[in-house]
Amino acid sequence: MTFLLRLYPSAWRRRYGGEVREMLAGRRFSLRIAVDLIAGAIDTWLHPSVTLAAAAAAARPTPEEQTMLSRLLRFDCAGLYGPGVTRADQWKASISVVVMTVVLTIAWWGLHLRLHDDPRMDSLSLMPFVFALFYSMRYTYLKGRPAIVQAVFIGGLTLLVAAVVLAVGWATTTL
Amino acid sequence: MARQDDDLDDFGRFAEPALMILISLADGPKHGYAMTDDIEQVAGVRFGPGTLYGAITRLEGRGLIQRLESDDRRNPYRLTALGERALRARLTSLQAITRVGQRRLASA
Repeated sequence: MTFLLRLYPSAWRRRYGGEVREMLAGRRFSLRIAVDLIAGAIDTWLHPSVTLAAAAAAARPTPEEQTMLSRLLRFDCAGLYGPGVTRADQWKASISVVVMTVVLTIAWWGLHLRLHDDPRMDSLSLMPFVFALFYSMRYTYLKGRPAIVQAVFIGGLTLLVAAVVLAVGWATTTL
Repeated sequence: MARQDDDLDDFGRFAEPALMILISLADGPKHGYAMTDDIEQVAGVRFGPGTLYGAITRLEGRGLIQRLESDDRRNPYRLTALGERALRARLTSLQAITRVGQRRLASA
């Protein structure tokens, strides 16, 4: 079952992979454990800041060794997305959401006019914001991930939402 | 409201496993496998490795537990002072809830 550990991000595997492999050593395949490992892998990909925070915690002095001031400073720097994401990254994410939403909405509006009120285009009216939001994750949740992982995650999520929105739009106009 | 370092509320589905890990480490350092066995004895639940290490990652990131270096691959973990405070706070809160529940049941 240790092959399932390949589903986890490499940073997580470097820190915990050996321990989990040791736990799984010699155990026969179990569906319950396989599902648990897959769910754990999904959670780890969705919350990269948790792994970053654990690695950062291991690299710094223990809480007992820290003064109150240094703990407060560290807490302030950790921010919403973990210690790997700076305030500048959060600004980049916010600005990219606003700029991309405006630019893509203008593009969507142009297509909307050109296609003469196509109901599929109406369904996609929120996609500029959705794509901009997913794209901004490259500065936060996906920061530090390889470009291919970022592309697959952002592109995959966008396509998934677009497919759902188009299906709902089709159902409400034809059924 | 600002998150407290010793608060388990935002652990989501890992809040219960995290609490069980803190309880397990309260009587001394343990590695993952020993924690799983201990939690099964204490609470009758056996967490899978995905759930266990999801909670361990969060607890370690928050500074509530600390990994100790070891010669083999089974690194033990210990409770930090912050973790001990978090555990005491959570158990006190649970005791208060239990008392209210029992009182209401008794008067029902």
